[in-house]
Amino acid sequence: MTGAKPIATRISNENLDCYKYSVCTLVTKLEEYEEMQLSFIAAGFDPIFTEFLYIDNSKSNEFDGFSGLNKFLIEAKGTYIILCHQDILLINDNLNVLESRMSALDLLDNKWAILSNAGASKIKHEVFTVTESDYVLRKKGIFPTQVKSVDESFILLKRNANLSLSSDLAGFHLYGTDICMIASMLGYNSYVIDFNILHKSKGKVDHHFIEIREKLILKYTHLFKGSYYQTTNTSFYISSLHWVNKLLNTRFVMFFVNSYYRKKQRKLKEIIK
Amino acid sequence: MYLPLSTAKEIELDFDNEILYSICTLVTIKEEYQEMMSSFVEAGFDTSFCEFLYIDNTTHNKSEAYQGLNYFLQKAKGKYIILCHQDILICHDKIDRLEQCIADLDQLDPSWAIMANAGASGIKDIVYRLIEPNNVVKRRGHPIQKVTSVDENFILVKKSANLSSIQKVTSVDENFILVKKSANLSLSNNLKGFHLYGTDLCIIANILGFNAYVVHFYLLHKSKGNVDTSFYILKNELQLKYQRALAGKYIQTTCTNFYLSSSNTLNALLNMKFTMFFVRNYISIKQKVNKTGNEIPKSEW
Repeated sequence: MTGAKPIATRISNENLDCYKYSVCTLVTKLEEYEEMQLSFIAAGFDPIFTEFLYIDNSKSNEFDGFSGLNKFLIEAKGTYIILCHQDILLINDNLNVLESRMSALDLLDNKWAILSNAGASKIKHEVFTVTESDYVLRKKGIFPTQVKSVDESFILLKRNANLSLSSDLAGFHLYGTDICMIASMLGYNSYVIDFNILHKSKGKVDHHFIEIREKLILKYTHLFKGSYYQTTNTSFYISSLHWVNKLLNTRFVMFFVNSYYRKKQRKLKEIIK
Repeated sequence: MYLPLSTAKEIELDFDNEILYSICTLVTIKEEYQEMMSSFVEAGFDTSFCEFLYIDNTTHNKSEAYQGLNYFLQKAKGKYIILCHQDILICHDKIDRLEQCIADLDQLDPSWAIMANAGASGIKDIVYRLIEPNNVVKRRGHPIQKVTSVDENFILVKKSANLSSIQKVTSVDENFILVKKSANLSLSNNLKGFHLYGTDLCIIANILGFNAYVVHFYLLHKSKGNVDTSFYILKNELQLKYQRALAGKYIQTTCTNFYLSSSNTLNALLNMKFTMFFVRNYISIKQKVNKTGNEIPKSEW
């Protein structure tokens, strides 16, 4: 007797998203957040197709940048998820500008998953369009530019890229870099576009920043280390070095590696007995 | 004028999923899928708290595994997402056994994100709990090994007899994979095919800071897997992909810059103020020579 078919739901790639945009913010000052939200609506982010999500950190830090934004990435229902600071205002460029930049990028690279107004591609290659609290426009670089890190004040993500931030990092800094690293590992690209936002603060490089920087370096140093992978069908070595991979994946080397581990397994079995 | 805060929604801090399990399958033979679904329901996966999701690959492959399973990971509403083959039957262990495994894992390691009935933790260290079509029970991997192995995570095993049936792994078999929805995992977007996505998922989980385990959960798997040419092509692609992804690189942010590689020594050397001074100067000179981009000089800021 087979089960009733109608209880199963067929998944298709049709876009059934309830919202086009989810604007997600960690809030410490509710008034400032409301001002930000109002600027988004004035710039064209109508609540009919935009959901505004926030985590209330006004009394205490319920969530940090990494864990809080991961919550947003799971809960957000929009086709595009905007992770932004409460101290930004969209008073210069509006939704039409953003959408035209996104359309241009779709034509250039359909593997884009992250957009921002500021970031960096390599050493001394910072790219940004930002108006600071003095209302002076700062602009550097060619747009769009593919980058390795984005600034945390305004990050737009494609929801269908299903991105996450590291669960083993915490704090309020460098999550823009972490998400670009994760996106890159998953096969997606990050870009800085010419989209002018007003950012009231300049960011804080304090001892917390230095701590997170050290933890991020340590985490990725550990991750980047080469290692053998065994599956139920095969085994292989992966590292960042092509020649090491070539050498350690030759049948000759694998024969000795397999023999060594087989012997080790036998010894363990004997010990267990 | 301020907008009322009620326009915004404060996010729930805890998940209270009505759906506990999303059981997700790529289907090529509908009858076999229906049989699998029945076995789940009979094992206690009641439709009142489980959803069955599938991609119809019966007429042609609408979606290969990496893309299809990424859809599932995104669309599934359950607290736990089960990615499984259509040719398995839950005819031995029931839902209560699986829930016991989940409870044990929660106790052992809150950072677990993947659970399976088969996988491997190192070379020649393959672990599985399977029933083959002829009703032969297949079991490999001795839980007590964990205690004697160098991996310190397993020292906790001694605390509870139940925990001895759990093994941390670096890859899982694709026939049955349970994923925690809250981990928000993905598969690589730059790999395609029907093989090694269990390994890819474990690598991604590890990058995100999560762990994978094989647990004592027996199920019947009708086939033994298919190691054909496409398997070896995908294996090479996976190796090449991660070789590139793990390559050492300089990272520049809007506030800082640093070098990342697998070598502590190289990182320490290239992140020294002395070295960074020369790197920055070299790149500045190079930029001036090439002068690409419409940069505004700092003096004009």
